[in-house]
Amino acid sequence: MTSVFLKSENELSFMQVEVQATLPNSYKISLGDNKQDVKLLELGKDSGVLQLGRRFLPFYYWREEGKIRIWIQGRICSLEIFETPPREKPGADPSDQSFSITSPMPGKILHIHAQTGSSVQANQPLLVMESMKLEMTLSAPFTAKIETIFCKEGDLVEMGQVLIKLSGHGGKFEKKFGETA
Amino acid sequence: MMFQKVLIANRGEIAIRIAKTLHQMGIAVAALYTETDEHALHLRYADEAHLLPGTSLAETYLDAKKIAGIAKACQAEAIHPGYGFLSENPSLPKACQEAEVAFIGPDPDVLRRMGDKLLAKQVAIQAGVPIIPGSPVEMSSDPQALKQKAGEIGYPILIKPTAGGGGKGVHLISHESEFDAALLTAQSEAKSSFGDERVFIEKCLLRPRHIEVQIMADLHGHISHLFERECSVQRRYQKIIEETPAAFLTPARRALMGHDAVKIAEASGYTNAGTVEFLVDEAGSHYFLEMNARLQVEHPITEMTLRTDLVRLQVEAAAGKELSLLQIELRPLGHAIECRIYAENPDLQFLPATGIIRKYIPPDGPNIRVDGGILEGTVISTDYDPLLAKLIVWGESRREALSRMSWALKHFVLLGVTTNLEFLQTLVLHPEFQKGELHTRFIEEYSADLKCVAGVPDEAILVAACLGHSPSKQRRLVDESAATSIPQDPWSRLGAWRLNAHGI
Repeated sequence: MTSVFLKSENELSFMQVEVQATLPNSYKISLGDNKQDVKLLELGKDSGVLQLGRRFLPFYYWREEGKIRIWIQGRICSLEIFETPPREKPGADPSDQSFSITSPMPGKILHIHAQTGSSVQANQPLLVMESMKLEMTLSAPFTAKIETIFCKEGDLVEMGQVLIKLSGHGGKFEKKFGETA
Repeated sequence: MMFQKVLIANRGEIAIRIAKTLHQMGIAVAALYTETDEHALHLRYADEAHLLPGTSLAETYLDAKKIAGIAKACQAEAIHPGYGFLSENPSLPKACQEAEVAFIGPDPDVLRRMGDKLLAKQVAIQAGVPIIPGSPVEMSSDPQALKQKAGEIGYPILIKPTAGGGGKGVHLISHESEFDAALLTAQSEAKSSFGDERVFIEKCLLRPRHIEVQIMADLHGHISHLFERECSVQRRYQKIIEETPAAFLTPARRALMGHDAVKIAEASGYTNAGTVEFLVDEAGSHYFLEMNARLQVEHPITEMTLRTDLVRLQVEAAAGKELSLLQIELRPLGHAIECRIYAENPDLQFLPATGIIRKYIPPDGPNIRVDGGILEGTVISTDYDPLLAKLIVWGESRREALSRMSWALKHFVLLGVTTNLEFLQTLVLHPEFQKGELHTRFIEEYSADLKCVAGVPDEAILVAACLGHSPSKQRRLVDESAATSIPQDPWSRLGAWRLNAHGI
């Protein structure tokens, strides 16, 4: 039985999944109280088939920058896979997570709506920037606290530059199979 | 006398689509490419490829004389411009005339007149077709007169560049107090984008539907319309979903709009393929908006309902054949829908996305058509046009077509660059879309509903869990994939220029 930790792109918390290999390519997977028996067929470098009960589901995947992108049933998601619970610092409580809001494009910061130390809700606008005549608002992906703001109004920033660091109580994401919309 | 060889002055998806028809007609295909473009997909559909020397767009795909010169040198008897690039630029048909090569499109004067938004409106007025209330040509450089006209028409109004296209440089002015500043901005944008600072104003219809009519005219004076397309679902004036027929039109309105489109084509001396665009207000009245003197991106939906090949008709018309399209006999069947797949991130306000196509498996099946220009390994950068592929379906009814489109979107595998595929899935399933309650502000109005569902699907969790369980096996597989994934396409080194920069 192995524990696998999965973190979705825009979430602070992670999921702990227990995986038990039963036969070659067959697994018993538990998330919380739910268990699912699955089989991985035709596993290749970028594709495979997930057998789940009577369903045979083709999937395609690509690993990039430590994340794995999976296409399955018309949906694409990005997950990070960890062998141990993701930690901010060695020895730190794994439920204290930080998340960086990075600039999606090179541009200029127009307005900052956030203050260091304040709490924000999911989808609350944090800053407005502009680039190539496009104005873009970056919002909080989930409820969190503003830990540090690394920029000020008028700054020119590069793509991928860390603008704001959010912190929050991540911890285990309680999810059950069958709950997704 | 049909052409023996035609040169396609374009690249990408449309060049591929044109090449297919030409070959099916038994016509040889000459293609163009630039120095860093040997890997371009369209070259593989041609009989002979000719190098366009030069490094910038202006020196290559936008150099009419160079292109016409190549056509003449390789004995191509005609040039098909596709869409974008020089397709609506009079310099190309003019260069063709000088090189004695046929141009598959209208004459340079017609192209020039219908490409100018205000001149085109004058043609509409002459033809007796209603136009959207707006300012006339003479006012384009007179700020005072424009402001007064705006007051007469009534706010909100739109201010648009006279020499513009594709929705670029269009601004909404809600109140008289905003007029002066907006005018200055619009003029400077018009100057920088189109080299012409003239602007005009137009009444802004509140929730209009964008309905366009396909025109086909031969060189013998026969002009027919091939019915309408509804292109109301747009974002920033960029079309996302098109369908035909426009289900809300009464047969009388449909016939009237078709008739008006033909009148405009006749009044302008139009030949070959073109599209007359109208806006239809909430009361159901239609107004001429503009004319696109070329083949359009969404032409496949017309092909599906009329069981015809518009490129073939274009080539036949340009070769002097009399088109046997008797208006009375043209009868569209069923319903067709097209979704444009763009490289963009709907969660980041549709910011253009970049990447390398890792997996590309378009859906297939009866009545499903995909017109694409990408392959696994194609590099997508912001210098590209973000349109990756067009997904078109046909059904006997709108309901059947919608169901087929939902299926097709869900079975479209595209990994490597963020696309609007999931956004389109949500859009097509939206109750108002299903009902056909469309207008040009649809996406804005329902933007909250259209935000992608958060949450990771169970199946993805299961896959990730299995992959995470045996990391060493995974590492080996992934290392193998990384080694063979070095991008081969040097198109990305071309530098900053934009494919298909002009209005689509």
